[in-house]
Amino acid sequence: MKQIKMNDWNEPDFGTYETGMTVPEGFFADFQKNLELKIDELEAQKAQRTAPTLPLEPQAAAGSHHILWWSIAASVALITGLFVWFSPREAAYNETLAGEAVTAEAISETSDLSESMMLASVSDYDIYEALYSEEL
Amino acid sequence: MSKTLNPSEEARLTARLINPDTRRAAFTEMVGIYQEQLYWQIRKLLISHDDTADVLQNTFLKAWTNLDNFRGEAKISTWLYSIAHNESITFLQKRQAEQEMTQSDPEGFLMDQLQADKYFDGDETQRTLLKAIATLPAKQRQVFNMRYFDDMPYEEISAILNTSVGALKASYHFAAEKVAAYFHKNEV
Repeated sequence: MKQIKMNDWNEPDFGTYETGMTVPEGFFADFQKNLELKIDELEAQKAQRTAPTLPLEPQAAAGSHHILWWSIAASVALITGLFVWFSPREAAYNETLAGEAVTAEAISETSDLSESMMLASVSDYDIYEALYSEEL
Repeated sequence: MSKTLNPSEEARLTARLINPDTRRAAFTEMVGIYQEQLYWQIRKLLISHDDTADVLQNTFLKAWTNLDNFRGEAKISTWLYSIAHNESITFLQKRQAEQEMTQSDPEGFLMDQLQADKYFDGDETQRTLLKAIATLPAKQRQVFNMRYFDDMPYEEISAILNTSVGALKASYHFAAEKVAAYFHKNEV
């Protein structure tokens, strides 16, 4: 039976036992190479994230102004058309709903409540994931 | 095997690590100097070579991504050992949770690792010593490894583990007693 001797500080003196563990040949050289590649990857990702947004070319900027004005004009036309279309029916619609006002209000309240609850449960990450899920 | 830096080398490397222009080259140099020491520190805690390689990589990647916070107030080795220690403990906790290990049998997983590790060619006494160390709680195990195998001064262990020297001495004493008792029990 091997006795465990105590040293001057009353600590066990086990001699000079090594762990007996070994490491595969060439491990450290390969490890360092792989680590360098990983760091390159990290840096490339970081550079991509922090890349500045290029300003639009003058021609592209002019083109985008045209698109903007046409979009506004089309929206105005659409809203006006819808208003004209629906206004004669508004009175009849209100009458139909008159008997169900309480129910409608209740539904509206429930709807508002559930919407606010839903929004409260959505985290920034969920929004991010939803927006970029195709890219991930 | 392990290289230690003298104060002027340490100061030079620290300055290069802090300077963004020389950071990358200095980091490569630092990995070359410390990878082997850190590997063995982690390996003695995790036993398995493959797990150690993963944790060592995480350690250096974490060091790289946190290099902006390194001001050179602590020694480079102390800073790296602290990261390695935290990464090792996190790894062990995750592995324990995965295997749904109970606190009453914390050494079971490490014992299995020791039996299965193909990179072990020690004799029976060395295996028993590692088994005895595996029975210790993680922090005692770390203290014992640093003190017994690396002969690291208590002051340095204190900086790495953020524990007072007195507590470390007590910890080592209890650890050593348990290891000795394990040897007696198993009649090596």
